Amino acid sequence: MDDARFSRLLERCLDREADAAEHEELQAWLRAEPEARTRFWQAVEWQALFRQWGEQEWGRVAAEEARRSMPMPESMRAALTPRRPQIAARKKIVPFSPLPWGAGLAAAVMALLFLTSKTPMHAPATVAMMKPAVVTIPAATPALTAVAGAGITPTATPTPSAQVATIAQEADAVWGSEKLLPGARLRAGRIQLAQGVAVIVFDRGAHVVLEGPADFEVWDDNSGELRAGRLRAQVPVSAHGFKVVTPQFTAVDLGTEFGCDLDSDGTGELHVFNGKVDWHPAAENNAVVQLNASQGMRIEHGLETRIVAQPFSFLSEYDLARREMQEKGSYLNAWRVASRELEQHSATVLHFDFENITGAVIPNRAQRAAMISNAAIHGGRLTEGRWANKGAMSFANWGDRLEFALPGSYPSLTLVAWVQVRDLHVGLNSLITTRAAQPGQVGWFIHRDGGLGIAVTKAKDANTGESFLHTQPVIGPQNFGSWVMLACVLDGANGVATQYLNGVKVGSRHNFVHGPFTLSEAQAGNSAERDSGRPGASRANLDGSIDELAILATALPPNQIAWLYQQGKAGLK
Amino acid sequence: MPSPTEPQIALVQQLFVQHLVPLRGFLLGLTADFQQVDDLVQETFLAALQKAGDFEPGTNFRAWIFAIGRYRLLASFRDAGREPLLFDSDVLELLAEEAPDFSTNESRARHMQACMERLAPQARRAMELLYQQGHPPREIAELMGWTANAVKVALSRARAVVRECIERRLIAEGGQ
Repeated sequence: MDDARFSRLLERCLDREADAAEHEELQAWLRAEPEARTRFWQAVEWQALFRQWGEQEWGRVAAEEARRSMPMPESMRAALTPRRPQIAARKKIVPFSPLPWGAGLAAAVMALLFLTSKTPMHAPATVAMMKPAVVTIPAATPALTAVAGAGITPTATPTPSAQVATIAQEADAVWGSEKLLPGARLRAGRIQLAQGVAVIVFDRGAHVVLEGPADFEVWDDNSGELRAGRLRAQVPVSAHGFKVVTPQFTAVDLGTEFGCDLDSDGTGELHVFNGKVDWHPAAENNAVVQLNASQGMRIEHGLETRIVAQPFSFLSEYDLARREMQEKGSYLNAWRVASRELEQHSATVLHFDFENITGAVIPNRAQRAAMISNAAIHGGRLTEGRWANKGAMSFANWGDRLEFALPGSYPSLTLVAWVQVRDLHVGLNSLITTRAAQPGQVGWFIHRDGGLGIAVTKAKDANTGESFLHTQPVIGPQNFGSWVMLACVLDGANGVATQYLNGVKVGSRHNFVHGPFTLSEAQAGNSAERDSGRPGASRANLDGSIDELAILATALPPNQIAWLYQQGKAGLK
Repeated sequence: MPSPTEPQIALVQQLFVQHLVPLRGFLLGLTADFQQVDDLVQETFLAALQKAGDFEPGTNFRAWIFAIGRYRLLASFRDAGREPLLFDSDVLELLAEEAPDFSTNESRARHMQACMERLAPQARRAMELLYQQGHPPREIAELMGWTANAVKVALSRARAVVRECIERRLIAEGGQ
């Protein structure tokens, strides 16, 4: 038996990655060799142990989340609890009353449901937990098929009286139809939301944040029709195939998050934040288009145009939770919620939040984080950030810095930092610097005069070495010691650099160098150059603290920079 | 078939809970699919309760419940629209005959958390996405912005690191 080959086949099979030929090869070994079967079960034992750990870890994280979000009401906690994406809707009818032992079995089934925990323990739509006789899937209702999108039908229409969704929460909701309170169970039917926001959780697991004024019809446990208004849908694996039908198009989710916006003038937009969504145009002769994360489509007077998705433009459950926390003065918790949204943004490649630091590493919490992008701490000290108990890193001495690497290059970039400047001692007060002088390397700093600076190394054959933008003075004694949000957007496609202070544009330059931009071998806080001992090495330094640093591989528009500032400034003096 | 009595049902419930971990491992071996395991465990439980009168106290409950689980797997294959079986029926039978009792995992589980913490953050994240959230490797690649091959290598290495760590700790424990 070829040991290495057998191990590889086994691993591919248990990861469900093996193709038909590999399956056959593995089966032949399992048939013929007792040792192969022994090794097979040994590998399965480990696989089962890893899965057991995963399930326990999921429970631990859920409990931790619940504890961390203690200030929140139950409905908010449910919305923020990590969901297990593979949780499927229960497909079976558990036979209760026909059996003679009724109550005993009911209790046992409840215990089993808990043990196997396929249903999220905190999900607002608790039908599966509360009533183990769960979802039946009869045939689709033909009357609902002739709306938008050729061949689009409700995914599975339960019996007419069946409840298929739950109102999980609402904020300032004014209902045009029947008033619906959190916890209300919904049957298939129309919902009119005159103003405010409502969160609908479908029984298959999709979460929909509906922004009023909106006219929405729940079709079944995994689809609905948006006639007016806007919504944001977050779709776990269990609800893949979740559909939103509109007069102009139908969105069919292939996982995980998207937004739909219908203007009163008949314009319709689909924005994909994460995963993939199929765009089915209502006009039958237009083709179905698969949209990936950050992509979108607008349809206006029958004309389709590609757009860039704007995740922060659609209200999310995070927004609702954060709003409530801000109202209660729980600013740090509110920021933590917003920060999770930033981490999950499909363009976020780096996010240092300076929270829960142990050891000499600042973890990159971005969902798309590359393996080597955690920051190593060289000098500096951990200190308090914008609010009590918020972590930050203070830089004062030469050489105090974070070192990190972002592999690859990016057509556009957005850099965001929350900074508390104590003083400006030197010519260049470094925010981010890069060690290697390659084309596209980015340096971001505050000039001694208080202006914000950005420099990008040009291609080697260019006449001058770097492209600069130096803004008017914006940092000085007036804001020394205060927390400010600095942002710089490098729009590589259009060759524009823009700098922001507290969400407001303070300078921009056209004819700036085009991308791609790189941040390999980067430092935050201070430059490493001074350590080289090289005469004339740049002595860039920062006397101040940073408590959040984010890098997005996209050029965020001004409204989204303003949004980021709004999320981070609550409660600051 | 006569209805089982209350004590018979109570006994099967109690033994089922005790044997849940090995049952899940057994079904994982035959399906390699976390989701299908969840479904089959539920079906096996219901079938076991209905057959509770057939179980003779004092006999091998694990063999009894494994047989029901295997039967449910074959039955689910026959139902229209279900996933095809991972293995041909003859291989399935051979494997089922030689399934372990998964008791070795009891001692391994004690060291699992400590050894997982030794993984680099990104390797641990890949493991979480696979074993905690149930994403297959190709989805993990998309979520982490890695190539599919990088994910496979990372998972393979991470599993090896944890296995070695646990085995070393068990040897050290045995030597004390």
